[in-house]
Amino acid sequence: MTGGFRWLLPLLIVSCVMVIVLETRAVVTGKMSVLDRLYFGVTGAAGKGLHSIRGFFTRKVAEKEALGEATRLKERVQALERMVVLLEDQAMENQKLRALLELQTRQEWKGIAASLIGRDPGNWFREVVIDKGFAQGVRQDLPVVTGEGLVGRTVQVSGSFSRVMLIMDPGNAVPAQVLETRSLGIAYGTGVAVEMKYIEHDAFIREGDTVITSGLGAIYPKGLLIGKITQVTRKEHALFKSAMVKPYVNFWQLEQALVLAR
Amino acid sequence: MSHLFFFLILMGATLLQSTVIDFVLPFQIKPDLLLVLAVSAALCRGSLEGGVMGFFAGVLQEMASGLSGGISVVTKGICGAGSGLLVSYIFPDPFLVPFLAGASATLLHELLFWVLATLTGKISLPFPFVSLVVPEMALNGLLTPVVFFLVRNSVFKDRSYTL
Repeated sequence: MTGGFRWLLPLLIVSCVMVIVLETRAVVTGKMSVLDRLYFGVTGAAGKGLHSIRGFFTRKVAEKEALGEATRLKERVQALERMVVLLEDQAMENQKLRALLELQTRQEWKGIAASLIGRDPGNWFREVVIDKGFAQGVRQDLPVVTGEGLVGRTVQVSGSFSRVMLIMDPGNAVPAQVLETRSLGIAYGTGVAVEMKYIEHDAFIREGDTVITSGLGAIYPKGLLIGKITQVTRKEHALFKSAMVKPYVNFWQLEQALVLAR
Repeated sequence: MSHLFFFLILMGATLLQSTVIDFVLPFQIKPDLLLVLAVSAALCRGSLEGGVMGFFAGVLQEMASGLSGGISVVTKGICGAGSGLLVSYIFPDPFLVPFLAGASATLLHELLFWVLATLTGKISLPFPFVSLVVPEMALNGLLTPVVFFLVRNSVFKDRSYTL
């Protein structure tokens, strides 16, 4: 070891303890630490620069693909317009029936658009950082979605940044429901996928069924798309079934999201 | 000065790891640039300095993530130190040794991380050997010879110690 390193050892120990204390405190309090705010201030600016360079090249490719997709989308729009008419009719009927039963209307959500400015650098935890925080109305434990489906929930919030735990994170558990059979379960993250557990053993669920949020619990509203079942598992003598779920959201290309605030 | 330059490279790698690498590489598992750099430094400068570089890499990862509660610092420090020991006991080869060092350091790093994270309650799942560790071993193993070559020829130019 060269002489220049000797004085670094006490500094390294102190810096390590400081980082651990600050980050642990951040996890416990739910607020991002000073180091996080400083770090993501830098990465936010650098990330935007890198994204704009990438955006230039992806725009060139996207222009070529857009022309072919336009025709396909026109046909899909026509089909969806027909479906909208049908759904509006059903919504009106639903409203009348609710009024008859004097049910409370569901709480309205406000969407806060956010951009991703960072991700967890490892492969174990699936978290991202967005560029909205307390100042923009974001709070802890708010659901985060995209047009494709559920992304996760906010876990740490600072003035201008927030951490979002993705549904694939091993620490995340989402009360879920299979749309076709109405079977309830819990969707757990496994790090690389989502597994729905505690599905009743005689539920007739199949590959291809859609999984949505069930609305149970205080965080996720009912009806948010989670993913599609790709494999059903039931061990002999087990009380429950489980199913592997492929999320609708493409997390590897995620750039923008919407935070749902009450 | 070379150590300061290497620390700046570690900071740049942390930035890349937490911003664009998911977009550049269309894999579900991404390589661990910080671990690869720590292993490369260890192969250039030996066990003790490799451990220190691994320690620094872990601190930077904790700043960017903060979720593992200091576990990354321990695991990367141990892997950096362990990689440096390889140089003393294995016949030097400019490709095979970095490849093996990168792959085996990844396995050790993920195993240690899983054990410590499970013991501290950060995660609760079976060891994801096939879904996470094997792809990451392949990625890091292939990346390490390239990074090692660049680090050896541009940062730590004194080759009197190792490969």
